[in-house]
Amino acid sequence: MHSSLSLSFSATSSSVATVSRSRHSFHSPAAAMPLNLRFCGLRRDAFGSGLAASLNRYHSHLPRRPHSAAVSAALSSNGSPPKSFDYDLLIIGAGVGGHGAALHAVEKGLKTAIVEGDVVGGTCVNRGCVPSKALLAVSGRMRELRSDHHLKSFGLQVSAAGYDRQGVADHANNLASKIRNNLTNSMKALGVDILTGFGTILGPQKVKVGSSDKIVTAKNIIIATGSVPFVPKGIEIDGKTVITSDHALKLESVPDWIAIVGSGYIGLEFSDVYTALGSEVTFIEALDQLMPGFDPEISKLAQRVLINPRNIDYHTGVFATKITPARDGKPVLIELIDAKTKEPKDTLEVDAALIATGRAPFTQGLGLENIDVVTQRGFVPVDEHMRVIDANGKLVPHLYCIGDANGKMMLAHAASAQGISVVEQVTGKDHVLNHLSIPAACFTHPELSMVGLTEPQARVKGEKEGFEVSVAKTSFKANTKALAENEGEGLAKLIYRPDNGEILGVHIFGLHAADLIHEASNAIALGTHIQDIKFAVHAHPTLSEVLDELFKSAKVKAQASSPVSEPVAV
Amino acid sequence: MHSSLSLSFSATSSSAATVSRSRHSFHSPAVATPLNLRFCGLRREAFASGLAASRNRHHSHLPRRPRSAAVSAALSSNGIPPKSFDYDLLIIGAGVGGHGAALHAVEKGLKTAIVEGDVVGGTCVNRGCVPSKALLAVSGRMRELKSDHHLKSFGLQVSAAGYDRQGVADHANNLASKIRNNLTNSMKALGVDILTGFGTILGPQKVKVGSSDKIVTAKDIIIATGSVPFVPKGIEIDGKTVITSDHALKLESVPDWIAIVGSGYIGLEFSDVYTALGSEVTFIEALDQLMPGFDPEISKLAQRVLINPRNIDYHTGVFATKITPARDGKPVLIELIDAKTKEPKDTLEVDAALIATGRAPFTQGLGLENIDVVTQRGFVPVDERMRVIDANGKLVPHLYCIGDANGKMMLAHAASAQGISVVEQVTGRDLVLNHLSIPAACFTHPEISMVGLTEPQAREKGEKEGFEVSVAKTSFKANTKALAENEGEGLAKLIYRPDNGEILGVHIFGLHAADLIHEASNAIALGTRIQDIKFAVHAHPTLSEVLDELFKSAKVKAQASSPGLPKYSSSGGRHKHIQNPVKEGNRLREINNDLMMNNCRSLHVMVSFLLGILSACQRCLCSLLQFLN
Repeated sequence: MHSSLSLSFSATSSSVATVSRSRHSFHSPAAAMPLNLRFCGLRRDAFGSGLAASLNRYHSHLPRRPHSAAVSAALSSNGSPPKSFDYDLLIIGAGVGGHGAALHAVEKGLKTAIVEGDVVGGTCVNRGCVPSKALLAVSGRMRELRSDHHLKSFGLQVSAAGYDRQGVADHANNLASKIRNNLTNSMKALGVDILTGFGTILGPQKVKVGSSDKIVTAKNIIIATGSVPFVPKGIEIDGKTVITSDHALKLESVPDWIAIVGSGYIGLEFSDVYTALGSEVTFIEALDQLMPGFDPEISKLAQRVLINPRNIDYHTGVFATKITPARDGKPVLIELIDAKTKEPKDTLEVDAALIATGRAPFTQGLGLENIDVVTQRGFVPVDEHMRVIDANGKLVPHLYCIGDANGKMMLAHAASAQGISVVEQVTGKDHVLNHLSIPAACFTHPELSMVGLTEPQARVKGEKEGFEVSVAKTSFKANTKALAENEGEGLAKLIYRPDNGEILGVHIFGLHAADLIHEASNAIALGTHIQDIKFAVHAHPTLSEVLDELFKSAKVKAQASSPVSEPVAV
Repeated sequence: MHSSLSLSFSATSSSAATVSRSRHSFHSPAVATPLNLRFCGLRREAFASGLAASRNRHHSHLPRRPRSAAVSAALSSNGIPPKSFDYDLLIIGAGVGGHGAALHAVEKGLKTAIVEGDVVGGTCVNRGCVPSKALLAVSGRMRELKSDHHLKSFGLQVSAAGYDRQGVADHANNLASKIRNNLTNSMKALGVDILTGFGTILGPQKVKVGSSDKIVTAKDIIIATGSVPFVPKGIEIDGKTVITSDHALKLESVPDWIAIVGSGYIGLEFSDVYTALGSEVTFIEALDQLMPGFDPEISKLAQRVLINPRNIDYHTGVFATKITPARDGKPVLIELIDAKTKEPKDTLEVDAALIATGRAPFTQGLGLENIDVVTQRGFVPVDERMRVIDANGKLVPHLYCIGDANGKMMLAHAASAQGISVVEQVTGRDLVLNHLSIPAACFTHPEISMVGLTEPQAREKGEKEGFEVSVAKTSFKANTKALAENEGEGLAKLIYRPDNGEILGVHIFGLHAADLIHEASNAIALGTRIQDIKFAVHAHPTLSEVLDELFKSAKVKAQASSPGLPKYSSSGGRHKHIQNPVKEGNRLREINNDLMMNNCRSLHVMVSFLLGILSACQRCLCSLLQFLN
């Protein structure tokens, strides 16, 4: 890892960043000073005097913008906005993305408000990744309790393992409620104003809140309204027998046989829940194979472990053109057509159907037409800085959109990261989020996680940009801790450039994969190369040694960079 | 974070380090090259031409040392040793440390042998951290199955949960056996010769193996003989009722009441196992509080969760001066004295006693006297590069000692890391291991992990070296995934320098702590500062968000380092322009690779080239200063 001495000047709002970088550049020559003195014949006093003069000049000409000293200061006053605006920053949407942006804004000294039109927490906390994790915590335990073979391998035995459906549902609901309270309390504690009602943009820097005539002005606005489940045409949702993930999370019933339309993250996680609780599952996937979007090698192994041995069958390459809820004693009816030929293919009669075909952005009623912004398939168009682009391709000043609403990466933590990036920008530092450093996780048992490119994506990029792509793999069967837990089924895969050691992508299927992936995502985010990270030490025996083996098994031509610190004698 | 352009040359054996550091300094000016061109009026062609000339000159003079191209090549021939030695590298001890060193050596093209005097795997695999993890996997599940309250909170119910002791013991033994086979097979597959018998050093580069007269010569030797349980005076071990961890792992019985002497990692883990399987536990700790060696705040919370609610009591500040095994119907007898006053304090009668008072190095019979090496309390003295130091304070050429035998850090993976460091050195690259980047983990339920300094250690260092120390903390109660698993009891603690963002230590108690710690240990190993890592994105909802919150909550005065070269620029022209620094850097790196040999002429060429860069930078900075006026 090496720092950059690059200097660039621009008249844009990144002037503070320029100052920051300029300050940085003073340090390197200072370190080199002794050598320079010897070779250039300058006396130290003369040079020192010149430098001091420069520093003085610099200081007097470029005063630093005042920062809020601490969060406690922000707590008491929540900053002081310019006189003409109610707030420095107004965030529309109180989900994880909006929450992350709000916290960062307050830390940066901005007077901040957040508009929540539904309940605090948005989709993720109330109807998405949070309560689903509670259900999956149950399914993981239930699956193990019911597997006599698995428990016996530990010398354990259990009889009469069962579950109480209402108890399971309560666990999920209690979790969502607790997290929602945590979000609200953390924002209130920091002095974020929570405005209730739907937010509608009336014009630049102006928002109407709720059905009243309350109008709020803000220097900068962030749209963070998230998404809702996408329901294709022809599918009738009754919330009981034909449901989306929103309904499924309430666990009002556990059907004997449920069809799941879509085998992405949501479909996979719910198949884990339902099969553990006793249902039979049938996947309906439009593409030619299950688990599209995953690295092919990982999805192949995952299918072998998560689907084939369980009470699951599937149809691929088919569309569900019509789904009718159960009615008058008749079961749910699903009409399937071939995805390519569009010919009718089959009809299924099941007890329930879960629609898991992705999510659609929630951008209706935002008033985007008032600022000449046209959505694309519902998504708000933005550039890499999350700045909103209008119908003429121009940037809308002071308006940003983060999270599912912009469609760049529909993950709660991507929304939060985008929000932080925006706050960094509006407080004077240019920050472009590297989306390839954002990890994703699927909480099946075992878990799936990934960051960066899949192998096919990396090879396409390598072809286009002219670099070689290599692959390294490590099995969980060689990991002591995984074997101690009788969880040897798993694989970690690294896709990298052998010429310079750049990490292009990492994909993990196995125990604790959702935690392990962060070694790789951190490395990508920080620009760490394999030849350096391969010397990092991992505790034995831990699951993290899977990553240790993975990095060590990669063949890289470049040498490690020099050690960053003096040797430490212990 | 900024790199230093300082250059220092010395005639000591650290010349390789000098080359390494110099190599680093090439990178920064390379990135600045385009700017230099603009300010200094040099045309790109002229600059490139000069660079090409330098490279050509260098190439003809400094041929690269041939290296084994791939492991498969090593597999077929296991390298070709100098004619006068049987092996390039001989490793005494086939534990995790020896194994790690052997694998790395073969990867580097060395003909390698390993001497195993016991069974492959050493302590860790056969009698230590590996089988204990199997027992702990059982205790974790048993504890949960027996906790009606915990299961009910998930909506689950279980009746008649029980365990079969032999089944549990088999799980542990099967695991050790499997890992042992994995180690053996991986070494055989790579062509490491496994020599059976005890290794005795006869003299420089010469080792006798086993009771026969077989003598083996090697260019370099690594001692990796590990350790054995330390048993204080007055304690009689019978292997049945007074046991060490070696015996405990066989789980031949589960006593109703067991005393555990020592509350470090081993004692803690076994208290987890025994209490889950139904035993009552009494800790006997010589120091004033339980869990010495842990960060005080972490040990306080851990005591509240791992000890107070369980069937455990304890005595602190006491020594067990005498422990007598159960005999003739009498229980195990433990005599306690006050650690300070040495006055008799108490007598315990228990069903069993586990001695967990640490480990002692296994260095008897190594023949160290033949090379004038004297152990210190059994430990082989080494420097920071693991080179063995003799009785006169001189380095013994070609002899290294890694792992528990040198006592620097008695962890299996520290041994492996030390082994890799040694192999890097004997193959020509100076790699000094930063022991503060080595994480440690304790597999209780929940787990404990740590890396770097504790808060008291950091404050002491800060006092001595004149820097401020700050602390940040995050609770698992605020983590969604932890709450989903009903495991909100936990804490992560960060100790850091607020002036520059350096991470001094991280301590975690909570679910999956043993995995989470590696974000911190990697950051320390790579020199990553808080102001940079706080922008790394963590998936939601994962336990890793505990670290995310931890880094974000730290108040650091330094700014994040400059963003790396933007990878996704919407401006095609800018993109093309930006690629140049990378190409320049690659060319410079090729030159660097050819500068591995210590050679005055190569250093001269390098220095000349570097001075040119420095001169250009200086002119650039002068122009910058004028620009800023």
